[in-house]
Amino acid sequence: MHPFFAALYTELLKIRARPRSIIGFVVITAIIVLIQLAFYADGSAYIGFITQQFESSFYIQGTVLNGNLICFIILQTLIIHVPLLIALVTGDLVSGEAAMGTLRLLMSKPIARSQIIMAKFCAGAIYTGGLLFWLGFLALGNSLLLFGTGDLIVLGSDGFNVLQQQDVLWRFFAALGVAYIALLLICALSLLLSVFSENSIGPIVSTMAIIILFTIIGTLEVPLFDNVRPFLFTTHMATWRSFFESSLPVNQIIVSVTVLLAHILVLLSAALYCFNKKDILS
Amino acid sequence: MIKRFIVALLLCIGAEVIQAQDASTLLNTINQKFKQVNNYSANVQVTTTISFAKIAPQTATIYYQQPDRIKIKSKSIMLLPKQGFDKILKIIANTAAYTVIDQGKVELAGKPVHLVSILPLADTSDIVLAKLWIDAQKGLITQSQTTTKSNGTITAVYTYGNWTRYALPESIVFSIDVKKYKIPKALAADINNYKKSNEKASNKGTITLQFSNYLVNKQLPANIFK
Repeated sequence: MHPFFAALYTELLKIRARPRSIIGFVVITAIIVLIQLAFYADGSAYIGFITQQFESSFYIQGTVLNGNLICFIILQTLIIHVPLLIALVTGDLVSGEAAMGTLRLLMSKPIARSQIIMAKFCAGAIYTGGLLFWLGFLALGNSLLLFGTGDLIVLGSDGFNVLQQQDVLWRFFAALGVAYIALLLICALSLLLSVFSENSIGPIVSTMAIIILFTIIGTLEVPLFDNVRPFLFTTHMATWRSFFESSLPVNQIIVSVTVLLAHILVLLSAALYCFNKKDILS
Repeated sequence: MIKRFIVALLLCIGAEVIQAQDASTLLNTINQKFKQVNNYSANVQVTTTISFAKIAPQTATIYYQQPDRIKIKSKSIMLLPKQGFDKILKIIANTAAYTVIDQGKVELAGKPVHLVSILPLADTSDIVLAKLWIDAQKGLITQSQTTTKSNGTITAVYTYGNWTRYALPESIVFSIDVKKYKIPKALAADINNYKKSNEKASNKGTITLQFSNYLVNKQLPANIFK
C-alpha cells in the first residue's frame, strides 16, 4: 500500500478508537431526535406563534409543519454547533500524538511529514463527512418519515419564502455540500492549531474560542462590525442558507465558497509548513 | 310657501326611496344569479405579492356548496385573504342584515357603474362598511371595498368571463393592508441575516385568484367538505 494511504488508514483507525469521536454522533442523534419529538408533540404551537403576525389578514392553506421544515430548522440549529464537535476530534490529531509521546515514533516512519499531515487532514475530512452525512440522514430522512413531505416555508426574521416541494431536495444536498466545505475549514484550522500545541485541550478550546468570537462579532448588529463581517470566515460558513432563498444568489455563493476554499488552502499550507519546521527533538 | 317646501321634501324623500329601491334591485339581481349555483368546483391559481412573503404562483381546486360550505384542496402552501372570496356574496345574500345606501352612478376605470354602500345592522359584525361598484347592465359586482374592524380595508376587483349568468368571477384581485412582519432572529434561527430590513416596503399586499374550469351544479366528490 502507498505510504500515504497506509498513514490515512492508520489515522482513521486512531479516530475510530478515540471515545471522543463518538461524542459528535451521540450529541447529533440526541439533539435531532429531541427536536423531532418536540415538534411532533407541539409543533403547531411553534408554527402558530410565527404565523400569528399575519393571521389577522391572511390564512395559510397547506401543511406548513412537514419534514422539509423540520429538517431546515434542525440544520439551522445544529450547523452552528457542528464545528465544535469537529474541533473536538481534529484539534487532537497532532497535539494528541505529542501529548501521548507518539509523535516522534510517527516521525521515525519512512513517510514524509507533509504526507503525515495530509493523511491527518484527509482522515479529519472523512470524519467530518461521516458526521455531516449522519446529520443529513437523520435530519432529512427521519423528518420526512415522521412528518411527511411538502412545500418548505423558509422562515426569516423579517419575512419568509415558500419553496415548492419538488424544488427542495437538491437545495438540501447543495446546502450540505457547502456546509461540508465550511466544516473542512474548521478541520484545517484546528489541525494548524494542533501543530503548535503539546496537549489536546489547547487547540480544541482555541478553535471553539475563535468560532464563538467570530460568530458573536458577526451576529451583533453594530455598525462598527459591518466592515469587518465580510472578512470573517464564520460569515461565509452560513452560506449554505443562501440555497433556500427564492432567487438563488449565485454570485454570493461563489464568493463565499471561494473564500472558504482559500481559507482551507492557506490554513493547510500553514499547517504543512509549520509541521515540517516543527522541532520534535526538544 | 309651506306647501312648496313640503312638496319639495316629499320629492326628495321619494327620490331617495326610488334610488334605494334601485340599489336593492341591483343586489337582488346579483343574489338571484348566485342562487342558481347549488355547488361548483373550479381550479384556481393564486398569485401573491406581499412584501414579507415570497411565494411562487400556486394552484388549487376549490369546492363550494350553498349556502356557505367551501373547501380548498392543494398540496402547496399559499396565503389566502382571511375575508374569503365569497364573503361579499354571503353578505348581500342576507338582505335583512344590512341597510343599503345608493350613492348613484360613478365612473370606474372609465366605465359607468353604480356605487352602493352597505351598512351591517348588527353591532357585532366585523364589517363596518362595504362599498360595491356594480355594473348595472350586467348585474355584476366589479369592485368591492370592505372596511373591517380587525383587518383594515380590503379591496377586491372582479373580472368576469363565461360565467356571468351565475355571477362567478374569472379573477379576483384582493388588495389588503399588510402589517410589518418581524419575529425574533433566535426564533427564526436566522442569526446570520445581516440584510437591512426594507423600511420602504409596501404596506399593501395583493393576492390574485385566477379561476378556470368551473363545473357548476355538477356532482361534487363525496365527503369533500369533511
